[in-house]
Amino acid sequence: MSNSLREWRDQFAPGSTADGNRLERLLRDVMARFNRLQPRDVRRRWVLNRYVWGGQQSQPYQSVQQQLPWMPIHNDLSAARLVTGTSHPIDGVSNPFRVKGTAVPDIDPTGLLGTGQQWCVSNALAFTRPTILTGISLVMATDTDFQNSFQYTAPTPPPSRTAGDPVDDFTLTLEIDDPFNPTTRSLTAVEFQRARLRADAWPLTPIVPAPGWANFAPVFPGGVPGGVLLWADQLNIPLPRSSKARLSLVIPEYVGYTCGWAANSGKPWQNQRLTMTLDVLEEVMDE
Amino acid sequence: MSKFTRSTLAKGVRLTRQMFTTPLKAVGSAFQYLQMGRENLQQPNAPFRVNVTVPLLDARYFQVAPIRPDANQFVVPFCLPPLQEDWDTNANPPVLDEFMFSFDQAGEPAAIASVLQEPTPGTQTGKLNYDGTNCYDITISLVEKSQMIRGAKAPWTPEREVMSVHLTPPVFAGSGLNPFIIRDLQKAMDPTKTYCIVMTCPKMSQLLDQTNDSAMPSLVFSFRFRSPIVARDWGGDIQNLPVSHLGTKTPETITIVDPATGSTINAETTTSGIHTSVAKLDQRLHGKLDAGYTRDSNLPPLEHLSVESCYDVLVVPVWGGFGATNALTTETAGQAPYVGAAPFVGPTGDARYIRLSYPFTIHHVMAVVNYQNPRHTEPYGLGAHFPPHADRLTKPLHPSSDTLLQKVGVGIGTIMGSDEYAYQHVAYLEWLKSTKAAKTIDRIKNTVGGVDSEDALEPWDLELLSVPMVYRTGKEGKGFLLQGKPFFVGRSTSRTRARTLVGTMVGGSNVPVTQGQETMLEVRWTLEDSTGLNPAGGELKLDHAPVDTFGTFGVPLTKHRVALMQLPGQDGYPNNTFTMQAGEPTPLSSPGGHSGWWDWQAPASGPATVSTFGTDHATLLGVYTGNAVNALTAKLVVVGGDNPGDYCIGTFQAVQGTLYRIAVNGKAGATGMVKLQIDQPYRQDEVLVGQGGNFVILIGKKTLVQPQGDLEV
Repeated sequence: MSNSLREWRDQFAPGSTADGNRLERLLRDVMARFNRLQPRDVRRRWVLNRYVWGGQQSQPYQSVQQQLPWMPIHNDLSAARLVTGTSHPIDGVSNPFRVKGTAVPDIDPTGLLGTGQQWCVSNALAFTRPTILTGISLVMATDTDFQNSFQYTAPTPPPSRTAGDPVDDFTLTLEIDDPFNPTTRSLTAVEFQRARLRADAWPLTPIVPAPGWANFAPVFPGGVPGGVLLWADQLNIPLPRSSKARLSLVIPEYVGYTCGWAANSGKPWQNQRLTMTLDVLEEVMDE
Repeated sequence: MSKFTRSTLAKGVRLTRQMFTTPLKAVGSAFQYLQMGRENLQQPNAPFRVNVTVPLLDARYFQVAPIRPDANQFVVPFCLPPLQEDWDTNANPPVLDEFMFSFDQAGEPAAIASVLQEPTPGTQTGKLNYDGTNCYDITISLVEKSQMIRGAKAPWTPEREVMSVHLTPPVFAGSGLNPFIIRDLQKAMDPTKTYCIVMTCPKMSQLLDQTNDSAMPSLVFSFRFRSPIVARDWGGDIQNLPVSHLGTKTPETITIVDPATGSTINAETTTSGIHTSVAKLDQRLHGKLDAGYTRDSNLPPLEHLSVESCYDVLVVPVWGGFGATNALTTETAGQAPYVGAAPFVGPTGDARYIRLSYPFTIHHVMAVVNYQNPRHTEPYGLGAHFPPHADRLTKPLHPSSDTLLQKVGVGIGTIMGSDEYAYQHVAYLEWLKSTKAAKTIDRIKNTVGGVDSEDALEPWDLELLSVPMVYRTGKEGKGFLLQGKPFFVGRSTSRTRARTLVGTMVGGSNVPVTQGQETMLEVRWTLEDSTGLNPAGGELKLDHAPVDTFGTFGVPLTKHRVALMQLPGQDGYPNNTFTMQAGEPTPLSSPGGHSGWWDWQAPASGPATVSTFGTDHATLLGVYTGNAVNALTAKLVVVGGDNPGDYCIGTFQAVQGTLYRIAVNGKAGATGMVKLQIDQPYRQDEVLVGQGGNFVILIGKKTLVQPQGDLEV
């Protein structure tokens, strides 16, 4: 007997009887199947959808800056985090830390000891259908005005660092809320995280452009972009149906120490132009 | 093709070999001629999203009556124009399926304080306010309006509400509903219309709730649509397409063989038989039907479907969250990067860098110009930002400069992670105030209450402009303006890979500079003004008073409001030593006796108001042009009252660059301390980029893809 046909109810083996009823049933199945190809019949049935984040800061050396959308990673009821004159929850804050796995040397993660703090920009997404996280990129671009060297610098690098070392103190992470307790950040599932990466290993471009590089109008007034490009693709991380995801970037602010984050005496978010992208694959749909 | 059909086998009819081979041959033929199309798919649609991200909206924006009765909405317009091949038919309209909204509350059931939060504005920014979530009373709508480019009588305001959702404060008070999502909307969209995301949040301002001046950081609006799966762009006219395949499909031949005449119909033979024939189709299904691009812009060896692509939208934010004021205005232009010193000629710019993953083609590019005024544009610490300047309620919003030049460019580059450094132009638009009308798709007013916008000349709040793609003469594509055919964007596996010719902005034809090595998409937006993004550094100079010996001096200014004069330690400027000159005009017939003259060069055209408010004696005021004191042309003459408090005030139409001679004379010989103010508000608070920022929207076509490793979810 031959191999059985996998898609049809009727199998026609040598020696079997091929009457009209069986043949009719087979042909009906074949026609129906090719008239309504199922997703599993098609190799490519996902499409890419992209999210892009970014904005423009003031000149980094401007004294007048907008802190938001950056906020500390740590929540507490100190005067530093609570609006003056307002009440606070009896049970304390809901989420003392709202992002996981961000600790770096020389900064107290709570930000309460005066040794600096960490700042986070966080964007939340929700997906009703199963989705595949396929790519994430982060560009922290520098140029003539945005001058983060992404190095610890003289005269006073953080104690555990040496001047000239590349920074390795930023974190890019994507977390999924717990489906049964979505407001408790300690229960989130970390689906993607890049932490403690050396900035010099992730240059936006490893080369110096030849003359004439700016063959794309308008010529950008900041000149040749440099900085950090952190990217990951082909991740293929499945996100379950009804996922609530948060893509967060955490960067440090040192107190009393010098580094590229504080170039031009600025705040850490002031010294680079930010672009973040998130690529997800979503499945084809019916009518 | 249409669905497969066949005749049902009738009872009592003798079976013939064609009765089973003919239907199977039809299927085989559909593979051979690539006729297996959308009609054959159980799921013939694919999702695309309009993802709008905004770094920050805060209480400045959502102020309501009495401060701002007409602009408590935040609006982002977009449109979903037909793909180029559907341009004339408007075929394949999408359907809105789902909407998601979120912003960052720092993981707490609390409001996030804005820079305006009391008790001391500027000290509370970003702090948690557990009493304040009642400020998040948010309504988000998607509304529709006719496009001006398709009909001159299209209104500026929306005409139809597509969907609306009211998110009450409990949603943001620890319910776990942020991000919020609503599904199964099933709203048909019109490719010829403009759509606007409209958001209101009237309680975010302290004006209504004395405890809250809140903010919404990191907003995400995500609309998921579904659109029909259609055929991809292919052929040598598509720009930047790999030459090796030009997108042409290679079909698979599936041959169904008729049993020989007179032979027995077997289940299985080498070439025919029921089982043998059906197995060929069976194996094809198990091998999975294929069509589309690989990640590296290659094609599958054999393709089976005639359709494998769908509509695509990429929304790229630029300029959002600018500086302390959340907006780039003439007042804050000096804070912008790259602008140089006053008057900040620029250019300044913003850019986004988007790493490529899967291939797609770009069909249209649009730019959203946002003039939505945040109010309180004065940076904290540099002026009174609360309460607002009442005079701004009547000031125009849009840039008035005839020389403000804006440029938007889209390019692909090899920069990211590459050992080459090259860009290839994809789309470009530049415009001045005088030329933008010809590029405009639509103008949108963010008001549904019928209150006029504050710019008398341009009473709308947002513009949607077409950014044409590069084109080759004779190979033009379809779109709002003259532009090129679709532009393919995708990485290659090899170091370089030949691509089809690409156009230029003037119809030229080039081999793409990127040589198939593109790894990123870049979007740039620059602003520059040869007269300055804020030329308000105009000086008021004491001059033209030869018998007076004060010399020339200027007052450094950051705005167009010029306030003169005050000597250190004195309240005004003493005129007792001023005298009259021979031939000097005497305003009206009111003799003076102690005249001081000042020169003022108008930094912009528009009404200028001059006053002697604060002067402690009766005054005469005159504004003139001319170069000789006895040959001046009067532009404004005002005779004040006889009492010391009766100051002079008047308005004249200033012309940019003109030098005006301004005289303040003591009426009837009065003396005392002179004060003089010139207020030319026309460019005082013009919005170059409104709160929320601008956007560049790319419309195109993406192909169906397969996750690496055949991942099943």
